Amino acid sequence: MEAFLQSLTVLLTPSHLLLLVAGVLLGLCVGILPGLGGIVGMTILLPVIYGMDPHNAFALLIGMVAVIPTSDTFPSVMMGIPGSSASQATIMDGYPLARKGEAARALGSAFTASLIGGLIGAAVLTLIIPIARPLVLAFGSPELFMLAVLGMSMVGVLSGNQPIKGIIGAGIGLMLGAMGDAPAVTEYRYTFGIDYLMDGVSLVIVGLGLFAFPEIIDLLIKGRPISEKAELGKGWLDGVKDTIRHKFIVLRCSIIGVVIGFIPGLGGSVVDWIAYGHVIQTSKDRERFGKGDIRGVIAPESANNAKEGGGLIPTFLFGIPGSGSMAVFLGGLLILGIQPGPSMVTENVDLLYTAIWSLALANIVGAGMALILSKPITKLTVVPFNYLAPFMILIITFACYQATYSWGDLIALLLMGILGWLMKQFGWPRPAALIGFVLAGNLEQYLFISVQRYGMGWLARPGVIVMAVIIVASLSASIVYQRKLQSAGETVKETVKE
Amino acid sequence: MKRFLTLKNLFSLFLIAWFAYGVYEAREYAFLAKIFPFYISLVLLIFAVISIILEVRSVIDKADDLHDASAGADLSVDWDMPMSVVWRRFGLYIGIILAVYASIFLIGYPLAMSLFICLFYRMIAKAKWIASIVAGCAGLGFLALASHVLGMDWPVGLIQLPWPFG
Amino acid sequence: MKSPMKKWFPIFLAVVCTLILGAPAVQANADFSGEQITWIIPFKVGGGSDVWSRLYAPFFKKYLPGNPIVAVKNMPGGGSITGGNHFAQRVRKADGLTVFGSSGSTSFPYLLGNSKVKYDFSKYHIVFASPTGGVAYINPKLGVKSAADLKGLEDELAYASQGATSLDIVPLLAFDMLGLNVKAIFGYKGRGSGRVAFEQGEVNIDYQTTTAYIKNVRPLVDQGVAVPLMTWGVLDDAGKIVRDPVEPDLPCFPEVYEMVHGKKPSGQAWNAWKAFMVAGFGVQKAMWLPEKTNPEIVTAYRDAAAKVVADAEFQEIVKKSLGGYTQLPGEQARKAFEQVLSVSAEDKAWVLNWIKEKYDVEVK
Repeated sequence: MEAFLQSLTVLLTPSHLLLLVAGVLLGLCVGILPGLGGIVGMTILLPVIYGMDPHNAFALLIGMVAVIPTSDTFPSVMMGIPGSSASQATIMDGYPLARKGEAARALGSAFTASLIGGLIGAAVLTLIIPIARPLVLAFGSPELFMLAVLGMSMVGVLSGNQPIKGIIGAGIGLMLGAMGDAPAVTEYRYTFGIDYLMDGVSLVIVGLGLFAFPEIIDLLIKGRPISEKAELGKGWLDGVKDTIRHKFIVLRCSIIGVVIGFIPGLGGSVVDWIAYGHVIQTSKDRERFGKGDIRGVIAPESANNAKEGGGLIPTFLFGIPGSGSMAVFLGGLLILGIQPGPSMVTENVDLLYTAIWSLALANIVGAGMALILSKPITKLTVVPFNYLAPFMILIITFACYQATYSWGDLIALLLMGILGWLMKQFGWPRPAALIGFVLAGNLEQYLFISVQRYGMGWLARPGVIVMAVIIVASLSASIVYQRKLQSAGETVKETVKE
Repeated sequence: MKRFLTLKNLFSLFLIAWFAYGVYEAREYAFLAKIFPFYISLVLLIFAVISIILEVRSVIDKADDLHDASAGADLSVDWDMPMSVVWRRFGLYIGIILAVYASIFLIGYPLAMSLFICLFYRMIAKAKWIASIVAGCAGLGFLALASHVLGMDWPVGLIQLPWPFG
Repeated sequence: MKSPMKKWFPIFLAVVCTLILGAPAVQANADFSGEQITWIIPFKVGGGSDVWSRLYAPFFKKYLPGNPIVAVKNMPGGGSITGGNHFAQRVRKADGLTVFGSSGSTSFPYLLGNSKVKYDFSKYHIVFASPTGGVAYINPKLGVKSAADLKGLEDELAYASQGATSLDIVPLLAFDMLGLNVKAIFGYKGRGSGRVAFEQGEVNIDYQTTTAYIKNVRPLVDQGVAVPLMTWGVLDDAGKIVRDPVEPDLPCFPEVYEMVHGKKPSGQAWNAWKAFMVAGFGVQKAMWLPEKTNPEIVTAYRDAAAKVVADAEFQEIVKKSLGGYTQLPGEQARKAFEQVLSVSAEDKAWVLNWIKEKYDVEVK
């Protein structure tokens, strides 16, 4: 309790607050640009804190990390470009909304959800901290593998009535993820002897290549602005109201976000898809998901801000990052001379509380600034795309080049772009590929370790069984729903015929 | 046979080839590195073949349009122009990108991109010269800012120009 | 009246002579005023080597002649091989404006003869080296109270490993030499996850680098859930492996070997272990100048390094963030790294064979 109060005094000092806001601003500026948001942006900004006073630098760092899932939302909604760590699932309904001219509504709703989600996440975290260590330790490699499988099963939920295409879509992602060095042995797989591929393809390039590139080309081909309707429809205030109307979704998804977020090494990559899948499965009328259902924006956005908070737990208490952005954040902590680990709970728990509430505060500031920015930025959706296209190409090629500073990045972008465009035209689901790509490494790694360590005995562990039940239940529910839909559709067709 | 060789099916065949290659390549990897890619490729190969058989039998073509996907599997695709026009324009824009890449290779990234923005504005967006030049400068300005403040880097061309043009 | 030529000629001659005589003097003083030094770090921002270099950089600015800015350039990729290759193939000039920072992950593939490696440490000039140490610990449930209890321990132990060709060669070979039955579980990323796996009970023997050990494992020892066994040891001035000053109560590996086998370690396994231990810990991180660098510049760098190490403010930083180990400037670093470079072909072959036999991994 006293650690909590102590952290509040630190939190409310003017210098801390000022630098927090500065960090948020910095993160927003870089993060808004597609491809440069998220982890790439953090990596670019990190050298800034070298040589700064640790307390000030800490505030700056937290401000930057907090705003990543918020700024990632802009490219998600505006152009259907998934961010590198957070706002991936938001593209599914956010972008269709933008195409209908309701970008402001989507953004308004997203930022409100982010804000509330972040706060709920911080509150839940503060309560959980006493039991955080044993909770995290309960997730061994077998449990982490099952969590990755749960993430993959979201592909099943998303694939609607074409499971095979969903599986193959995910498979494409898995194959892309398999490229590069194997987790346990120095074997370079599917690299064609090219040095560039030694580390595999970077997530930024896959995300931008599969989504941004085809979208740019399609918009150019159509010759119209992003928004299919000439003028902008509902505004951000409507979005705010939408989020408040669906407050239980926000609550549920924030909790999902925090809980999964603090599972080390994995939580971050799957949370928004699990939240999105969850909201689909728990909704009676699912017709409009994927076409601009505002709930499809609220769910992942509540979850992803909460998960950043959750991700602080493994990062601080174990020194293991909870997600990609936490990995860079961890680097920042090390630069500041803060060594995370078990000693945190005993010695520096006030630092942890400071971090949690700074994050919450930064969320509020970030969401506020983002809301203000959303009105002018959404005007871009009605600008004829020809004026935006060359700048988009500039930004995404530039962002990709930051991956490894080599020509391979540009070529990979082009190839992924063509692949993405073809997939889109021929109906192979790209979100499934993205999920597959993100989870490929984790799936292999944790399965590996589980089998090596426990033989096949890991299947009998309680955590594994619980998760297996959840996965089977979730998939069967989807199949049952599909069958109902098909038979209902056929009934309608028969009725129409008669 | 001709009806089969639609571009759509060609892509499906490409996928089959990819997964088959995956199985083939993985055969020779060290055991620990082999398991995952080998079996995943195998399973995917089987699914891909099933998929193309179903496609050929037109079993799923009715439900193929993403219009009917009940829960979004991907963004929807609807063209209000014939596919041949779509393909032609696709080729055009890919060609433009390739040309941009070639110029990056020759004269370096900043100058190539600035020229690209300027020419694109002029020739495709049909903007006035002054707008095009301003746009090109804006692009250059952004790059200069990114490089100076954030230390970001760009590809250097064969012909090396002074900062910030190369 | 003297002609203008006759009047100015002696002055002209004097100026020319001064220039000719003065020129080599300018070079010999290796002055970096107004220049920027690029320090290539083949690791990502925020990683251990990145932090290490950024701690050193401002002090090099202070002590290098001319006080140049020292800018760290991150070039991650290929487990640090990409950056190393870039340094080997693209940095050719003798001007000393580009230096390279290596770590254990850079030297191990080099030692193992990985075909992707295009750099060769025997050609470069070492400026300074930073050692670190490793501490091994075990789960108390196995009934082991100290290293002495390791003799005859037959239980199968599980160790979280990043790969048979990673820094884990040092602990794995050490455990093997002690006759322990250790199963290496591959696939873990980072030493930190090994520690978490230990806390979860997924593995029961582990090691950590000293800084991590002090922060994260000592609390576990206090709680009674971990038993410290030994340190790898550090190099003394004569190049022998002695007890680690950070944990002086723990025996170092050669001592434990003697405890278990009754005689001092020797032979190919020992030679190989020593070389890899030095590369991975004894001289873990080092700064290098390219092959053709002017000898005066190399000397200037080494002198600067000695001053950095002696700097009182820097010594505080060493204590706080670099484990408190004595940093090795110039000649000391060169001598220490000699142990890495002088591994015989037979010992290398022995290690490669050991990796192949035990783990079925071939280094290509």
